[in-house]
Amino acid sequence: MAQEYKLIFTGSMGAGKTTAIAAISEIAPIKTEVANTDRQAHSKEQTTVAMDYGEVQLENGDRLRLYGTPGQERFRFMWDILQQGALGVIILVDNTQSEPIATMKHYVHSFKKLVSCDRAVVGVGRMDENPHPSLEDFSQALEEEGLDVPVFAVDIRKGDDVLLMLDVLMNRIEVWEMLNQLEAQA
Amino acid sequence: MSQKKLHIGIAGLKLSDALALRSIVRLSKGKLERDCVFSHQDEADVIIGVSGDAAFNRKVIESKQNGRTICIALTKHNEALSFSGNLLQKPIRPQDVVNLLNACDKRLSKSQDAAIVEIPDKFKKTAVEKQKPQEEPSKDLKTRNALALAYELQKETDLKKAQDLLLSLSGEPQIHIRLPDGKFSTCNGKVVTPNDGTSLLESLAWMQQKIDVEKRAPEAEQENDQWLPMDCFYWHLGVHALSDELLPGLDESMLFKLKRWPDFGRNGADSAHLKLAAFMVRRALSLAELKTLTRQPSKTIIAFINACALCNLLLPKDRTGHEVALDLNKMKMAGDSGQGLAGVFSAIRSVFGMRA
Repeated sequence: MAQEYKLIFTGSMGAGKTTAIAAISEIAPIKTEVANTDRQAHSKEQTTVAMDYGEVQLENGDRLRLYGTPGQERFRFMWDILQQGALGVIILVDNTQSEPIATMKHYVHSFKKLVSCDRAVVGVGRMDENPHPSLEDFSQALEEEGLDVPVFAVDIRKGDDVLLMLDVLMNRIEVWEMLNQLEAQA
Repeated sequence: MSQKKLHIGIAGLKLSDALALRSIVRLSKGKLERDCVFSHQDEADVIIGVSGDAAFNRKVIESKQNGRTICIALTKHNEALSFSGNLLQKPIRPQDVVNLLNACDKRLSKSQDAAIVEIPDKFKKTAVEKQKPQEEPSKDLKTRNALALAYELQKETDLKKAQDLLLSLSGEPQIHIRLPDGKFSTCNGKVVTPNDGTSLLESLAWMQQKIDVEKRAPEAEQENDQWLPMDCFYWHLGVHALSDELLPGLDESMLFKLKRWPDFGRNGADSAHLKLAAFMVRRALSLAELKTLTRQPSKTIIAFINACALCNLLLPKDRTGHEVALDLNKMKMAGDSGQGLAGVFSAIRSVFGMRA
């Protein structure tokens, strides 16, 4: 019987979740946009309510469902629902927005269930426009909290960069499962 | 119909085009002379890509050298191209794909037949030698030159002088390094592709010749210069030119752990490197353990460890006896078990043309 798997894209408003889904979705992404009522957080006119949705049909008949979380804080209650049974989470940060490290930490903590079992990756966008904080700063901030999450500089408009994060996520999960199994036997 | 499947690789295509191609190939099964599968670029018989894309261009160069791969550029109608090979017009029409793939199949079969049948025994060796891809330079020389360059760069960086370095190959300036800022740029207007460092690799020319290092006063940046962090340079130096032996100070009895993940977003990702990083971030492992766990050849692992060391990402340590050794005989690769997520990961990789 065909199975369904869930991959979550999260991050602050304007970080590129909708773009990332569009870059790899096989279907035209379903967007649920409304007028942005939080212009302080981001100046864009429209933002996602409920969630964005895209999907990829796998060759064995299974389906990979791609969900973008709503960017505005008032829709935060949906995050817990979304992360139940998810394959993993891709956290997107825009380095030109204010306090990108704090933003990253906020999302890492919000998705801690997935983060704690190596099912998270962080992609930092627009580093060319604003190289500070550096990737090392992001990694260090996570290390200080005892968290191990890979951080990469990405251009979210490129499908290859989205696939890189997906590939890293899959490798992490495979290795996590394998090492847990071996360490339990040791 | 031939037994062996025709392997198709894609390079730099938009995902929508890649998916369209996959659907067409899937639906055209009966019309194709040979069964087709989508594979990683390195295993492909036919590469379909976009002219101008760095990965595709590299494949075009390789195909000219080895004659075993056919490259097809996807192009819009009336688009001016510098590419002189096979073209597939957009919008992609199923019949065009079928015709092109069947023609590729014929050409590849012919060249195989020529290699197998037409060459008399006494000339076989010579003919095979002629068909061989361009020889890599002597490993010793490559390693020696790369090591000397890495040593020189680290030494100059440690001195913390406000100076620039100009790396020249055969008297031709190739790479400009701004030591105080920790970044580099290629000279003569050549652009480095951040993801795979194509131009950088061409400049390093596989370390066939000694690279001269000239020190000079810092120069003003030119408007068109494209600067990248030195870690990107060190990464390519490590993974492409230092695969023969571990760097001085490291040895096979040590355990290797990573401080953090290398920036694959900027340096480009190889499936083997992703796997190695995933293990080494989680746990300190020996060369032998990494070899068993990742099933990668020693050269790949050594090059990866060296690149990480040059980028200051490596935490080497001596085995103290406190580490609980893993019983690798009990190891089952995720893919071996056929359970859990292995199946879905394999399907995801397949649909996106990733290599496990």
